[in-house]
Amino acid sequence: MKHMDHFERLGLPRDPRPCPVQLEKAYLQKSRETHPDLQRGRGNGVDREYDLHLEESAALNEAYRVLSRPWERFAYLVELYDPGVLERTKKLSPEFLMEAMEMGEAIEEARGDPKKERAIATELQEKIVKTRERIADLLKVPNQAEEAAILLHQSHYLRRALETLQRSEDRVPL
Amino acid sequence: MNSFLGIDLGTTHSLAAIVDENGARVLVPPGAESPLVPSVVALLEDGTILVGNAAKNLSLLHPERVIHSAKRLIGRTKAEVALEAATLPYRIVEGPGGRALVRIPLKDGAYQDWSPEEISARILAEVHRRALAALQAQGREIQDPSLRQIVLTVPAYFDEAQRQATKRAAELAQLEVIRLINEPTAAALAYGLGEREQANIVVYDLGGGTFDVSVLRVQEGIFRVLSTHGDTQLGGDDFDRLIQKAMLEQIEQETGAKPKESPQILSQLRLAAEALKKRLSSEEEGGLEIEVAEGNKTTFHLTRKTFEEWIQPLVERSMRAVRASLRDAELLPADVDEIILVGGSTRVPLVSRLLEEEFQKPPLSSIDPDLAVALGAARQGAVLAGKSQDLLLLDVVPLSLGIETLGGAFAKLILRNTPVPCSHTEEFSTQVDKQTGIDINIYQGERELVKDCRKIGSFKLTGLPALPAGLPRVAVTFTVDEQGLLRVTARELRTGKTASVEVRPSLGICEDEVRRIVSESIEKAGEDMGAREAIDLRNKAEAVLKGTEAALRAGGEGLPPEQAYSLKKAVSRVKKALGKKDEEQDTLALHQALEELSSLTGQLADDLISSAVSKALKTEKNG
Repeated sequence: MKHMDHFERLGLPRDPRPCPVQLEKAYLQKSRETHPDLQRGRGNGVDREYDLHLEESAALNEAYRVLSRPWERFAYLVELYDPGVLERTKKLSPEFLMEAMEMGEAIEEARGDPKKERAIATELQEKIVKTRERIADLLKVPNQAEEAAILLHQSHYLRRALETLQRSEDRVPL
Repeated sequence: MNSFLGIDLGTTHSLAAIVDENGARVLVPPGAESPLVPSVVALLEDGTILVGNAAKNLSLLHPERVIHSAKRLIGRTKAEVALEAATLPYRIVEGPGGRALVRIPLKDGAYQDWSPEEISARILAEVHRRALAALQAQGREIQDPSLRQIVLTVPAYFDEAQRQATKRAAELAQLEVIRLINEPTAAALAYGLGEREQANIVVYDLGGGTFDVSVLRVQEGIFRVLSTHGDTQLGGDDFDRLIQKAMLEQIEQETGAKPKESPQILSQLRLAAEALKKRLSSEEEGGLEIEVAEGNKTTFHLTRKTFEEWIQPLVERSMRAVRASLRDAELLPADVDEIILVGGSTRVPLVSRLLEEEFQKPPLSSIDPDLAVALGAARQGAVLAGKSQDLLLLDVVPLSLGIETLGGAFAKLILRNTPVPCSHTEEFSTQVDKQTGIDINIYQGERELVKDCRKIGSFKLTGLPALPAGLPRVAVTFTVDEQGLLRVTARELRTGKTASVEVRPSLGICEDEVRRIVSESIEKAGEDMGAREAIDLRNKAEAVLKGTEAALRAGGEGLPPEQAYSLKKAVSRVKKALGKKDEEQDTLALHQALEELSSLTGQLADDLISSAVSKALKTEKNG
């Protein structure tokens, strides 16, 4: 199987905010070209290169899965631009850790008070959206991967905090 | 060449269909009234085997030797089917590996044990024979070997073991399964909604013994499954059982008879219950006379209203799966364009009524719900035979797939609802020095610990180079193909050697029903996570410790003294944290100690380990 990155596989440019309709279209188009069922049909019931088509089809599904989810797409893109950057930027800055600790305390305090919990959740959500937009902007060009990676690590923390908050808020899974 | 036959192997009945110049059609042999073959096999005392209607007709006379509902047993253990075994008039025994087998009496106390695969194989052979007879009567050449190649349907929610067992049944019938296809997906194909530019479809498939729901998006001929849910132990049989139970109670009360002890009466009541259920689909009430013994009769009466009250919890259970499936597909009820009903049990009015309430639109039922699945399988058969290229089916993995890690944790490698084909590569290493093999157990399920999941197989990586613990690096690739079947390949990365992998299918030890797997994983998500994280952390710590110590032993002399000192200090800190008792303290301290050690070893480890490997390999050769 030819090695291709996820964008190449879908025939799309390295865009941090691909149009979802186009992304889906490209995925379906490429599926028609690689899926073992249609390959088998073209060979009248036998797919002579079945293993290859299986592998390519699996790689295509993975490419679409990653690129259609913003956070996974960002993580993929920063590594593509700067291999190893996620590992290198793993350590959160003291400033952020401080902020995170305060946030953690606020969540602890708010526990059991739906109104307070909701207020924190809203605040977190806003922060997450802002971070997401900022990362997407940074990744328009290849040389800002490091800053994007730092924000990505922070966003991970924020999203986890939001999840725990929502989990305690109502037990219904999203 | 012909199109491949599509065969629907159902719990209550089975049938075949094909696509030709006239489109998709079911196959009815000359003289037969219906394309449906009851999924029933009988073994008579003299060894005669009957299949289909001939067998079903004997169920009153010889209930202990007339086997129906084999699909509920296939790919499962005796323990797992205990619940249905209690209401089945034939005997179920435990076979090798705990597998459920059916024991049928012969003459003079002799007996035969049949596997559900064998029983299904006989049904498949009969369906196939009839299909060929139908084609021959229409002037077709039936010697064509492609007519032994079939597209076979399985419930979407069947796990690996059930799929493999179904495939084995076809092999036993000397049929080649070109493709397994999920029943709800097949039904969507049958409706030919492919011409639409875009539509979201919910397929609600309630058969005799299984329930599936799939949410699909159709776009320009591509049928993409967005999510699937189900219950391999919920079906119309359960409705019958509720009626049967009420009948038994009434008989006991009125006549004092103990019909539970008589397979004959149980079997008679089962058929009576089924008939009454069907009647209540079109009538508001119904009654029938049951003869308990010579001259001992009672009349059983039931209204649709009461019947619906009884089955309401079961139908509600299916509606919960519908909602879960929509949620997984990230759709709202209003986003759904069509609801398709599949399976004979959807004729029960309560089912369409609840669905209509949920979606605010009436479900489609223009294709006979008994035929849709086979027709869709035949359409897929045409695609695979190259007769049509306008359809493409993209399905998903129904249950998460993963492996057991140390301490009984379940590491999910492929999550449920991932589109197939898909693959995941995971690296493994050894636990002790000179270990040349690794055992890997594969599980399927949604819970966090393997004891709550279903074991579907195991394999051993063999022929690894004899190296210190933690040094071999084996990349194992798990691939789920387009049919939802698993395959495993492995490679040792440092030596480039390919390790041999053979997955031994096993029938699980877990007694959870598939329905419970998902709902419990939601309920117990919180409780599991804590335990799970602790186990993961300990495993990780132990692995890092072993790796570091091995590296230090192998190449530690070359290290600058300061580095060696801080490494050793970090190692002892991790060891101390591992030894601690108090759980809260333990996890946190271990986390910190491990972070510290990892940061120290990060860059260093790979060089050291690589040199250690080449050294060890040299010694191995010399020694």
